[in-house]
Amino acid sequence: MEIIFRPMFYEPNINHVSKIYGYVRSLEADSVSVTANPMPGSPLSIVVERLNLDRARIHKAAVKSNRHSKIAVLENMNPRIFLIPKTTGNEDPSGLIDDLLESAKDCDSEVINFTHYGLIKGDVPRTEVSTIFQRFAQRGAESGVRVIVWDVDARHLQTFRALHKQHFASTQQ
Amino acid sequence: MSIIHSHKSVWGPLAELIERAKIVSNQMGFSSEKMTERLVRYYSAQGVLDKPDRLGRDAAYNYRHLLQLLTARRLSEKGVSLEVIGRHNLSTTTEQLEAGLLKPLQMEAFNPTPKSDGLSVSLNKSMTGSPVAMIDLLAEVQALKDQFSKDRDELMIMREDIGGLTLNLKELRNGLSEISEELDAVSHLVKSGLNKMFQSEEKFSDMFDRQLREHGEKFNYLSEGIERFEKSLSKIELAISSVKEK
Repeated sequence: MEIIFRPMFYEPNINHVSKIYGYVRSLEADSVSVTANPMPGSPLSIVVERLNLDRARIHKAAVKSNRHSKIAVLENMNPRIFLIPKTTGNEDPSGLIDDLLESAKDCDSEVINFTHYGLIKGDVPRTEVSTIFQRFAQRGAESGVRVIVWDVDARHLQTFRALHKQHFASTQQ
Repeated sequence: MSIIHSHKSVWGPLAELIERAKIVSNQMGFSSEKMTERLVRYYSAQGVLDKPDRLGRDAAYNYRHLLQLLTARRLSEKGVSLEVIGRHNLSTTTEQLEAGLLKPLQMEAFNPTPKSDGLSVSLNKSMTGSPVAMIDLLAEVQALKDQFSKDRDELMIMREDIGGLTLNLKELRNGLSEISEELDAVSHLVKSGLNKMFQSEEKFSDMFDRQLREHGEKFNYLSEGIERFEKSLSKIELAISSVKEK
């Protein structure tokens, strides 16, 4: 599995909240993985706006995804949407990543645009991110996902690169 | 808001879809007797409905599935085959499905009458010569006439539509040329503004350099004076100390 980082830049002086997250569609991705946060100004609402998706359907699915702590897969959307329930940053995300890879396998998804950690308030949750890299490294091949286009907060790009190197060092050689 | 539209936010398990489909069917006067989970699963397998969304391992159905289900039931009751319904449901947008359910069913769309290819077909029949055959012929001619006038009306409507489109295009073109003129004016203004800005910037930078130089010279002059003053002060101090020693 290949991981490509897309740094997300910010304009701190702009107040309008949707301008903060400079999301653009990844043309290669057949699926987008977004945190199920339906609040206005959240990455999900910005992705919905930029990709011109069905807001009502996604909102409802996001609410249910959080309520049941389960990944919601929205089919017949272009691109397909994976809604990941919200985490606190201190939890073990292994289960969710396994579920995501499992869902991707069911849908024959090959390229996922992973929008999590595109906007980080405070420090990078190192343990959580490290676990995600670990799961990608361990389960990536069997899932059929070839590429992860990961939108990361540009201010923390180096941290992500370092963590990536730790887990994917053997594959890079 | 229409009866169906109020269910726009549906996203949930199969049971919820069935319940909502029954409610809408009853409100719209469709039959809801056969709306069962088994039927929906069968429709899904036959490609009459879109692939369902998922919440974990469970299937989740949305507004589009509701519209597809209602359309399928409505057409199925009129004898349209599932294959045709499936093609229709999967290729039609959600808005079109919604609009289709709100207006009376037009069966022509699903059972298209073969287009007449002229009088030749009916004239062959008339050659039998009997009065009954003549009546048949007249009926066919009448049908052809009706078809012809219908086609002509449609063509007239299309012609009017094209005329309207042409007018719209003309208006659009005029609007575009106005916008382009305005854009030219704006770009001219921006260019002249930028030129002025550059000129004043150069002027200010020259002034600033000059003043800096002048201040530098003054500073050098003053520092030399201070040095001289300090030297004379030290001389005076030496002189005073020598006087005191004497």
